[in-house]
Amino acid sequence: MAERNTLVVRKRIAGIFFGALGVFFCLFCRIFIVQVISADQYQQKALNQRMRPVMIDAKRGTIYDRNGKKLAISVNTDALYAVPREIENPKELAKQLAPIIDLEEGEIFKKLTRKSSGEWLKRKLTVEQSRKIKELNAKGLSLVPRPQRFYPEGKLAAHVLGIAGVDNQGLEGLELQYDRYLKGVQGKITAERDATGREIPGGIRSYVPPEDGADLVLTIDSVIQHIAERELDRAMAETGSRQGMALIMDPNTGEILAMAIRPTFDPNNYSQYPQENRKNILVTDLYEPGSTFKIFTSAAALEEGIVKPQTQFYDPGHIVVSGHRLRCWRAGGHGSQTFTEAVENSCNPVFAQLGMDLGPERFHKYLQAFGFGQKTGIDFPGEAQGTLASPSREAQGWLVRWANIGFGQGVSVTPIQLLTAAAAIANGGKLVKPYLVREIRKDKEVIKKFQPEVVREVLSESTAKQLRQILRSVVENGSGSRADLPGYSIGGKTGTGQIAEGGGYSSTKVNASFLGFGPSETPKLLGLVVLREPQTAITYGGTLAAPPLARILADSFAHLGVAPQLEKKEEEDSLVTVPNVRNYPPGEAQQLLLSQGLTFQLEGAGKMVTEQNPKPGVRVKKGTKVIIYCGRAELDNKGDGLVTVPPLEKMTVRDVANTLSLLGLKLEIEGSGIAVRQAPAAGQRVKPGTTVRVFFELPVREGRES
Amino acid sequence: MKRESHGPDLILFLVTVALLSIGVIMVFSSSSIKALEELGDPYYYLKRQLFFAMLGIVAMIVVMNIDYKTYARWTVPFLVVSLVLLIMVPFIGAEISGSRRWLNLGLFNLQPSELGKLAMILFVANWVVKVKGRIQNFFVLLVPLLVMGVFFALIMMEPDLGTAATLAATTLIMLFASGAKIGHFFLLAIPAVPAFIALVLAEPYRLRRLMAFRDPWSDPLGAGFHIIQSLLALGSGGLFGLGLGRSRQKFWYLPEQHTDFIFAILGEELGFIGTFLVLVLFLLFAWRGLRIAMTAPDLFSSILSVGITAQIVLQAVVNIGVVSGTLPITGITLPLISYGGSSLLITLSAVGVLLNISRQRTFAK
Repeated sequence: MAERNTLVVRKRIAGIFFGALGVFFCLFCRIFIVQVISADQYQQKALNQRMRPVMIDAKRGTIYDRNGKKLAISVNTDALYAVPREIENPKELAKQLAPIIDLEEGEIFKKLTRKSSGEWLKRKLTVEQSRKIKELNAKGLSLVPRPQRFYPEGKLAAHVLGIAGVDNQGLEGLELQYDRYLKGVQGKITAERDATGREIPGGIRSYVPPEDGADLVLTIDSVIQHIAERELDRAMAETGSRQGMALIMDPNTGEILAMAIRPTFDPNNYSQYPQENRKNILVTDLYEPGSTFKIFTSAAALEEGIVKPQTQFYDPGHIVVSGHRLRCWRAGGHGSQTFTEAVENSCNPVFAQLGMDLGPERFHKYLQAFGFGQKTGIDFPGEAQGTLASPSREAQGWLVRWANIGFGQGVSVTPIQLLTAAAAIANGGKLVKPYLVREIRKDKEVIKKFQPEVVREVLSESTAKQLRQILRSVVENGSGSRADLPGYSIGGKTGTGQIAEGGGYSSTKVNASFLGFGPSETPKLLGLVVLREPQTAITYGGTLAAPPLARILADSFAHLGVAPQLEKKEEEDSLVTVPNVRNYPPGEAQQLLLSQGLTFQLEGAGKMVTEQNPKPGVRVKKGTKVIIYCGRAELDNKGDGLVTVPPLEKMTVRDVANTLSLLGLKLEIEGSGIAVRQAPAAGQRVKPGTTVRVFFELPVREGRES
Repeated sequence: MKRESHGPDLILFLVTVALLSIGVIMVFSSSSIKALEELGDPYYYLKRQLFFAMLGIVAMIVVMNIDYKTYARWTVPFLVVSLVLLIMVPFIGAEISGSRRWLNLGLFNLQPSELGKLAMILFVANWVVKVKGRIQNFFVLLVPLLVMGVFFALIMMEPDLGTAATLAATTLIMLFASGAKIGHFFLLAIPAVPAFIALVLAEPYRLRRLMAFRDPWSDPLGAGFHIIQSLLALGSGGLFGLGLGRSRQKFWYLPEQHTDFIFAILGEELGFIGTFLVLVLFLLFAWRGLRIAMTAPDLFSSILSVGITAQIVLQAVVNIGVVSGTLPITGITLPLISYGGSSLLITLSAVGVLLNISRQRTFAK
């Protein structure tokens, strides 16, 4: 066994060694490639897999009104986050959580048992909810502070502001329009993490702070906005309209001061309202302007010298155009009248005639110059363009069409478009671009300032002035007389546009509108109120829409410190009209009375004013004490358990029903319209629960309107 | 011929101790996070590795002083014991991550395949001496190949492709060194080809999995996961490494960081300098081992030396090949460096045998 290994064996062993050398050489090369040549690539990949960033939400910018009042802010609220696999007893926990966060037990259970790394159960928790959840001390639940949008004024200017979603992204309105500025830039914490997600001790860490969003300063004046919403609410209650809108602008700059729409929504809980309530129909929806459009027919005709304020017209009650008979709204016509009177009367044949006299080309040129058929360029998403017929003489019935446009039929406009066009008359001839944001600020520094922008000159200064005088006359003497305010010279135009329905015009559904401005010499404010489908017997814009706009303008002038312009007679000046404060909360009623220069005496502790003395509409000296009664109990406090039947005459069905229900009386309705008689009579004392029969009648169609 | 007694091969001894030392350090560095997290004691694996390293060195020195000729007599009993243990593994073995390779002996886990490798080496060396020149006969050559086949099949049942493959390769290298006809090896390869094709056709996923190393990014979370994490570790190390103890991949990204993939952590912490050093040490090991085989006093010790050297170096090559994405994944440890008690004891004892043979070399350097 002890023989030496042979030569062959030694040769083979040497061969094996050279083979090993070859194999090792290959390994050297391979390792060299991985560790030296491709090292960067692998390093980067390894780093990427370890560095996992955690995003930090940026604080969304604040939205201020023009006076610095906060309309939208970001606040950190707790959000409830659950990690399903850490939860020990989901059934029990769901049961405990349900009453706290106001969600279905089953729904919570479903989320708690879902196979996911984490579930958001509820956002925007109140402090109280957070406290209760902390007290549960449950494993797998955590409260994560997240910046959430909060609208401290609730519904105020909701349509202007729009809404921001749960991840602080702008979804609608200015929140969407200026999202780029408002949202800021997310920050992040980057840390080296092990494969299970924990930070590696001593690892690389970096922190990029979030950049907070910029703030918006709006053109909206929240006081005027508030006034507009209050008056709109009141008009809605009084007319039962399906929709209502009010738009107030500074005609000299194009700044929008108020934009109010009813029905509305609360941006803090927007999901609880129908989606259509959120639409800013002042910008996005078209309607037929009706008689308010006669302003622009007048402007074109005056500028072209076709008419002068004193030009005489005769209205036989209709006008024949290409064989079509266009009727005046007033049977029998307005007879002989000057042009100013024709505007006061809103006489359709006169404006049809003007439409034809101007001719499609010239008329179209003016309307286009006023911005009809084009977007105004307001800084708000979803603006509609409107339609304006082409000036062609080719199309069939072109003459009838342009005669119709003369009195406001056959065009569709957005309210913002109409008001912007009217601003050119109020400001002396310049078409301005309406806007909602004055400034964008970052860390208190103004980074962007929006200046008034004149788009073009539309009218001469003198024509604009002439037209303002005519429109002032409409309020003083004509269809807009209900907008006449003591002390302030309001000018304007009423409109009652039938709502187009199924190819024709609805006979019952109308838009009652009033466009007005003041002071008429040098307008500071321009406004429009539109009430859609009012349910009252009289649906004329002058009857329904003029009073709210007048009140909005008057209160706004007081707020802005615009002095009354009209030097009325001394005695007249000291007289004021007692406002209607019935059905108002006592606080608001007091404010209203004080704003009219009246004093008050409050009786009772109810939630609503049920009666007042003197009655609404009575002219009294300034400083007169108005007694307001609140609630039922106090009225009855005479010990006999009886209530006094209130006077119901001239009230709408809605008001009658409200008044009687506050007193605990039952209502039996006879007829429809405005209350004319009642039984038992006012002042009688009856038992609560007694039925009061009230007779309603449709008022005789009178008034002067298209 | 004159037989003298020399000192043992000092270079081989030093290379072995160097690899062992690097291993102990790297076992600690790579396992401390895992040990702290899972066992609450960052030194757990270090302590055990240190203990077995000491025990292994004692074993190596003891074996170094036992005449290798003693083993010839134990060839058959050793073979039988190994086979019995290997057969027992599927029934009473401890299952670790899908494979049964271990017998739990209380103090440590014994891997019977480790014993099997040594038994096979001993058997082949002994058989070569018995058949002498007849090794050139193809049918004579089939005898050790059949024995190898039995071991191969038993180890594959665990399954442990890496160990089975190194065992087969070691056997073939030993037979090659012994002077078997080269043509016969090619003849043997002929039935292997259809067998391989049949295996692949039977289960196509095997090939896909086997070939995942070619493009690990095609399945980064599945078959490619280990390779990717291993390459990221090696690549992150660059030329000079992140520094001892500063591996990032050991934070749960790279599995088996203190056993099969310890070389990747070594590369990440010590860079190309470190991996180069380890490669050089294994190459030195190959050189000294084969040199001992060349100068061995007889055919038995010569072939035995080839077998022991081939076994250790092959295992290192396969492990490094896997870690560097050069070879398909096979769960195999890096000898002398990876964590593992029984493996260390057996490897160091085998080095002891080599050192004993080196003491009886027949001519001077």
